[in-house]
Amino acid sequence: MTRETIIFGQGFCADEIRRRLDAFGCPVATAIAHRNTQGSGQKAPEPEAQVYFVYDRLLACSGSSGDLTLLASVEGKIVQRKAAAVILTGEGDREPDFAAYGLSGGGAVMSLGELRSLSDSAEKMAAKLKGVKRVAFLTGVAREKVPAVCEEVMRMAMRLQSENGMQTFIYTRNLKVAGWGLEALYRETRMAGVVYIKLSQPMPEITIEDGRPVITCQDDISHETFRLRPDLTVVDETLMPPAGLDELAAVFQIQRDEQGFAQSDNVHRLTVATNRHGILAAGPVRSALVAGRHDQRLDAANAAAAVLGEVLGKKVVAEDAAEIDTGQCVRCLTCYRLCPYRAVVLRDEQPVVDPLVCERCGICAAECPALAIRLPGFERSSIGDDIAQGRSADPQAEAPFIVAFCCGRSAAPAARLASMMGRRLPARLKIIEVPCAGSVSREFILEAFTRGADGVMVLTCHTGNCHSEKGNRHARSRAAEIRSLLPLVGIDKERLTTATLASNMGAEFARLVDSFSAELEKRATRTGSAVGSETA
Amino acid sequence: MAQFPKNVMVIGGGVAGLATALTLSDLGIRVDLVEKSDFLGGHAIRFACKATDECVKCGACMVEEKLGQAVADPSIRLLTGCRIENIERNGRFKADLTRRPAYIDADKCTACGLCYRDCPEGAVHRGYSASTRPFYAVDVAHCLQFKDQSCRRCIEVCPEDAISLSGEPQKLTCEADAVVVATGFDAFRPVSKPYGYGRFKNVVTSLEMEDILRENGAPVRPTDGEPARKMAFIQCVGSRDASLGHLWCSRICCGTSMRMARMLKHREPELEVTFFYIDIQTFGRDFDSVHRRIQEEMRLVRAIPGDIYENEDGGLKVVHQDVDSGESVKEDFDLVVLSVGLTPAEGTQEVAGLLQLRTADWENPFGEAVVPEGVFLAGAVAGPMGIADSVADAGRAALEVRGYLDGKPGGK
Amino acid sequence: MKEAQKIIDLNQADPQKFRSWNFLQDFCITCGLCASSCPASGIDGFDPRKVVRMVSLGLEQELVDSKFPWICTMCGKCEEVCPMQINIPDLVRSIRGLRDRDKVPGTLHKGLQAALKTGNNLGLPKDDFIFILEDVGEEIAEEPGFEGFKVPIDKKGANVLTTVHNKLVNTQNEDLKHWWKIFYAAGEDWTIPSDNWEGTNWGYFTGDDEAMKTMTGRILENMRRLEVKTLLWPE
Repeated sequence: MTRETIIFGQGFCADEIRRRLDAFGCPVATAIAHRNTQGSGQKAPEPEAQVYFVYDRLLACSGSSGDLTLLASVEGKIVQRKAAAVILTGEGDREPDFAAYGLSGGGAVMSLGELRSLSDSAEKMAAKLKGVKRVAFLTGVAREKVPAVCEEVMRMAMRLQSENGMQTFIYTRNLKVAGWGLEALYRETRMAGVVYIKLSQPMPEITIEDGRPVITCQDDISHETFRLRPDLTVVDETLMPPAGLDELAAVFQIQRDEQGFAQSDNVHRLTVATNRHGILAAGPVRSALVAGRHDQRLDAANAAAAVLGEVLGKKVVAEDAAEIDTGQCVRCLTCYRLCPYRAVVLRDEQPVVDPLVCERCGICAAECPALAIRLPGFERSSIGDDIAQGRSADPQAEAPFIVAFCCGRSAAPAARLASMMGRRLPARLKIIEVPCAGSVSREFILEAFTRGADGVMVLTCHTGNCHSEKGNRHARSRAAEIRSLLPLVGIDKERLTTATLASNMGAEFARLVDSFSAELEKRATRTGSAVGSETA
Repeated sequence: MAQFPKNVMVIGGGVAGLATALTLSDLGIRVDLVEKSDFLGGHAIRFACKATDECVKCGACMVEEKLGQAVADPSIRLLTGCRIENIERNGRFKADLTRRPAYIDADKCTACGLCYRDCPEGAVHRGYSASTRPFYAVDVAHCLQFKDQSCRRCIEVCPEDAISLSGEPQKLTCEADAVVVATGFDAFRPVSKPYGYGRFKNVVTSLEMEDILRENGAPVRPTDGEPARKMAFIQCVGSRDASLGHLWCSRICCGTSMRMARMLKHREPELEVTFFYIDIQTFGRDFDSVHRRIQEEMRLVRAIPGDIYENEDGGLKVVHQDVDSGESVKEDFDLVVLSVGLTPAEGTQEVAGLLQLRTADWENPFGEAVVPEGVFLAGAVAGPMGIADSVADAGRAALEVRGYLDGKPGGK
Repeated sequence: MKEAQKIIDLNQADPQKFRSWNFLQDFCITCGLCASSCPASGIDGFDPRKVVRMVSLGLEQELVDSKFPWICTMCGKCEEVCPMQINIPDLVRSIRGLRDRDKVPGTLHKGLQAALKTGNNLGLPKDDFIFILEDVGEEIAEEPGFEGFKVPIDKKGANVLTTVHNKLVNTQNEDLKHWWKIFYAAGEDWTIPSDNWEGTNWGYFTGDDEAMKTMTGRILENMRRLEVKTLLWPE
């Protein structure tokens, strides 16, 4: 029996997802926050048509792909609902940029969205826009927009031009044609008579005369100054995350991007993934870039594919997931708080790592103040032995002995690429590959020095590129901490360095380790295996 | 779990082909991925990382990741160096393939690079990804041994005995229940433009610039190997151009060049960069703020240059309108990067012929196409798109393949 | 940045004014290739991109009054580089044609008027024209190898009819000799008409289609009259 997929959000993308999943016989339920069905625009449930999950308040969601458990209050009772997957979707909000132009809506000023709804009925539109001869569209002037918005503006202008006999003026900074068919559309609009005015700096001067805006600006191309007092001014919109998203994201513990959309701006999340397995974000809810219908269709297909893949059961249990030693654990819940994947769950008040969710980033193990968590294969003693082996491999060598902790997604492949490209790496470079830089603890760094490293490198993914979102930042801040403490134990802090890399940066890796090695050669080799003092 | 006993042939080993194969594998379908060149990853595997002190979401590392995952996936059979001779259709598809012999043995090769270094004709090619095995391949067209048996240098220098310049091409058959065409794009070769491309060494395309950056980590000039100090990027070369029959925006060039320029300036703040553009296209989620920073960091000129002339020292004189004075001026640059557009791949036509497929015209990509049942398109084969969009499109294609194989209507 | 300029009131403009013009000006994407390539860009603020822009905005009076269309040399480089294949030189020419004839700059219209009236830009009488030709012809006949040279004027049934640029019978008579010697050495059967011999057609530069037709018509008339099938029209 296949568990259902629960979809939060309505609209085109949601409908597409449903259609796709229906075609594969995957059961779908649409989540509706009960209090919203009274008079705020959301459709009331239709009997027979769909399965609904109506709730008052969503409380929590645990588990992972294929086996999610939602906790919600429904009519005063706490209920559990199981799901194979949860998909966050929805139309997203569109906020008109009125304020950016010093305008307010109403009268001779309308938002693109208002015009769009008006255009559903040709009669309504003709009636409302009676007497309008000149229309100005302001798009991408105050804020740059995506091609989908520009496309809407172009189509609307063309319609007013050809069907309603108006003269339209599109004011823009950079005309967005980076979408299929948009260059041809631009041509069509020009042939219909639409006029474009391109601006660079500064903002146009907009004043109000007799209740209508007057737009004065210098056109980039002709350097002429134009003044227009249109009968109607249409202002475009900034795409925003939908209003209810704050609450949902908090409950589902989804990482968001800087604009507040339901997916972090991280290439690892493409196309519809979030930091949590089994919880997907599709359509405008995940990014302002997914605005047009075509993009939403692709998102819907990818969401359905992810669900279907889950249903077909290709999930592999992480055999060597992080383990919490319940004896050592002091229940501070640091691991619970920090896990980017929400893999630490509470069972009978004891934090436990769910092996189905754990991605082995090692952040929990590295941050646990009680050292109660181990990531199998990445423990201080085994790493220490590995380093010692590396050092003793060529005891006669004079080259500095460098230990480089390399993230397995970035620095380690870069190192391999560097060798394969024929770059000569330092003679005594010992690479310790870790699944995520987040697992590189303070103890590991000190261990490396203890075992005789002349220099230690912590090489992580670039900021914003970490699969665990913050593993790289954890690693770098730990290294910074240790760095400041090294002089206390007589070690020059220049012997510890951090850098960021990507998997395809072979040449840069080689240059990095080479220059670090050269720096170390200027300093005396550290003697012995014990931490000792040295002349600075 | 039961293995869904269907096989799909994916034609094209670029990011779209790899992503389609991976999603198909997730959906329980076995894949034969057929690639005509020696290396997987298409164009995008050659792209340089454009991070400054933070990731700029260019997606290049994602191609690397997909490639690594595909190599490790037992459900995906990777067939490089393959030419499709024929595709028959009798319910299922049956493709006859000719596979070039692997003159360098993947199991023995340690990627030491000696053959690459020592080949007198430069006939050993190098791959781009650490997941590529073997990392080196012989280009028969330039190899002297194949021309007149006069050279065995690579065989001699190889410490692993991994090279043999002999062997017969392998004839293979691929039987598939569906075919995905992911043959991608060709980059525009700007020889018809008055920019001296092909004659002036320091005029390079954006793709060549990626190679330079991957190799050197800095914008090294082809003439003297020195990093450029004053660079020009000319956008829209071969795009938005009705006279070429390219009435489209190639979508990725503004993002690629601007990210590249910001990365270069981050590494070398003294570098001067000028952008010649028509309309800057949006890239990335926070484009509005990135756009503001770009305007501060580099010089933007809203006019595409006319001619380029070469100076004695290999530097270039670029003729363009000075937007303040309005005059046409000649300005010196060390290095000029032509942001070339994407065009339909020639290889697509061959494959299309074998399948009775007709892709839509790129000037009207949502327009009429003839796509036979059981055939699916993924990625830039059908129109310009970047890495993220190719991955999204590949996911869609894989889902539709699954729907088709299930015999379910409404899968499309 | 430019000084404070006259502000153009788009409420008064009719952007559809030049709808009927089919130089593909509506296809312009403002790429600036024309402006970058134009040898006259920057002169008095002119560049071809601006001109195309002003046509798109229907700014007829501004264009008619502007120097811009007359700064253009109509060299055609802009059209060559334009990715939308806009016929900018012809566009410029059409704008020129909109101006009142008495406001056409320089001698362009005056010369044209003289040509329309008298058959040549100089208003040179027929007898004087013939005299100059024969005079030059005699000088050639004095040169070794060219004995017996004569200028064939109004020769019916000749193989080639050639027009004459007015400057060649004004200040640059010597330059007539190059053609004529070549004809003679080649044994060509050629002729010059004594009326309507003017080869220039300044209606091309002033945007005057009617005048162009008239001038061209006269040359054709000469060909019919003299029953010549081949025209050599170097101007």
